Amino acid sequence: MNLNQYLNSWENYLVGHDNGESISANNARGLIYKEMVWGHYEGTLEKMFPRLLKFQNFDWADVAREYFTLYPPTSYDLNQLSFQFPDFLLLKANLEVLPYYLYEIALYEIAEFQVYTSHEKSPDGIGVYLNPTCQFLDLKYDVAKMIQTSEKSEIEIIKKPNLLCIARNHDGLLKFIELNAQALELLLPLEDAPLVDPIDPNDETFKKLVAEGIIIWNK
Amino acid sequence: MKTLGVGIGLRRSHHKDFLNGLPQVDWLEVISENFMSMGGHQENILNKILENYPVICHGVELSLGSLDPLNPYYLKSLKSLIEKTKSPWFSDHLCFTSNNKVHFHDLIPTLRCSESVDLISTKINHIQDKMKTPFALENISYYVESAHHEMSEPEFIQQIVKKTGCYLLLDVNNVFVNSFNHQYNALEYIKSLPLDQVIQIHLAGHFDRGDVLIDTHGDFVNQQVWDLFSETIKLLKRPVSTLIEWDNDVPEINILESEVLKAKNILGSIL
Repeated sequence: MNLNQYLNSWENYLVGHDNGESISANNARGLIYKEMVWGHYEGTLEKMFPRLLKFQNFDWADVAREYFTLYPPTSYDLNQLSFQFPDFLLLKANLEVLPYYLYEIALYEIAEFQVYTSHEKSPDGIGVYLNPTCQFLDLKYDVAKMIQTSEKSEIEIIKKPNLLCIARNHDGLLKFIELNAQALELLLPLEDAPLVDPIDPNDETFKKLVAEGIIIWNK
Repeated sequence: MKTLGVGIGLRRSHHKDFLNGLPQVDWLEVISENFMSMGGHQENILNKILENYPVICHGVELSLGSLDPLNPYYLKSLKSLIEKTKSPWFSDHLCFTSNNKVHFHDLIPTLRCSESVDLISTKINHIQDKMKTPFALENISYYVESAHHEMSEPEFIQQIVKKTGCYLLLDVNNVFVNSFNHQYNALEYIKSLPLDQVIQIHLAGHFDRGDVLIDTHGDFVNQQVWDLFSETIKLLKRPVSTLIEWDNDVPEINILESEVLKAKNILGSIL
């Protein structure tokens, strides 16, 4: 057996359908590896999507098997392995196997993680900026409210189209806000470039976006 | 290379201890991948720690034994972290963690053959050249032995060290676990390593399943592992930067501090 064959036999055993005879005569010990590898795969989904479980009683072992067969674990970053999970749920929703809102909850959880761990730094120059950690989600369900309610152990499915903005504020806390037309009007120009001064510092929407940390105003 | 004393691996449950105080440890080892791609809180805790402690970057995803090429984005990100932390050396494992770009996120033993020696040595030389920082290779624990190995593990390590000049991160618990699981003499194994290259030692707890010892990093360092550590220090006749790893069922920081003190006392009593 050459090196290539050896490595492939491990891969076939760990994530394929090989029974492990080619890597070890002692299958009980080979199983230790299989359990550890799949433990990592399942664990990453479980940790990334804690809220999903409140809406759907997933068996993570089964789900991980199916998901990682469709979307092979090709990243060295364990967290990134879960980034295509919303696509997997969308696929299931399109097949009418799972409800569509699960896809949106998963999108929300990924966005929260990415905002929380973003390398983007707050701008320190004078001016009005869009918080660089911001992520925008165009949703059909009121996911923020659904999650909030689920934390009180109440499951409520609220169909309500909304544009949600998630950002990490100056204190490192996550903030989310539903954007209306006025807020969008203020944010869109900031996507291109910061402003030296606010258009109207007394505008209530502007003040709210600054208070929530979506807009950063350095005077 | 300056020795750092006795440190611990930084784990999430101890972040608050390092944010609010100065636990009695000499240095910290961080899992490189946990800090390479994450800003925010992770970055803040690292910045805070760097104000007070030396930090060593310890990776798990170089996948040296894999035929997959080294990932340039990974190396770039690792280099940034090494520069930020001023890690005097960095380390990863003698194993493979991916094949055909599929990542297993666990340390799988590679085939000990001349092709592997060449492959791993070429990768280490490339990495050392890119990082401009010394690299240390860690021996892993493994549970299965292939009938296709061409050489023993010490011989395998010696050949790689000869071709690269890399350092060794000697995991004493892994040696102990392997010596039980594969029925060899742990001290003889250590004696046959290129000991001049040992720059760091790992100590950890393991789980005795009865038929096999499993390297769980989820318990106190076993007394037999402490004994093997003592014998290793007697062989080395010099202090070596030593680290206590505890990854599962992580206890309060004071338990880790007492394990650090135990290692310091052993080092102090021998040297």
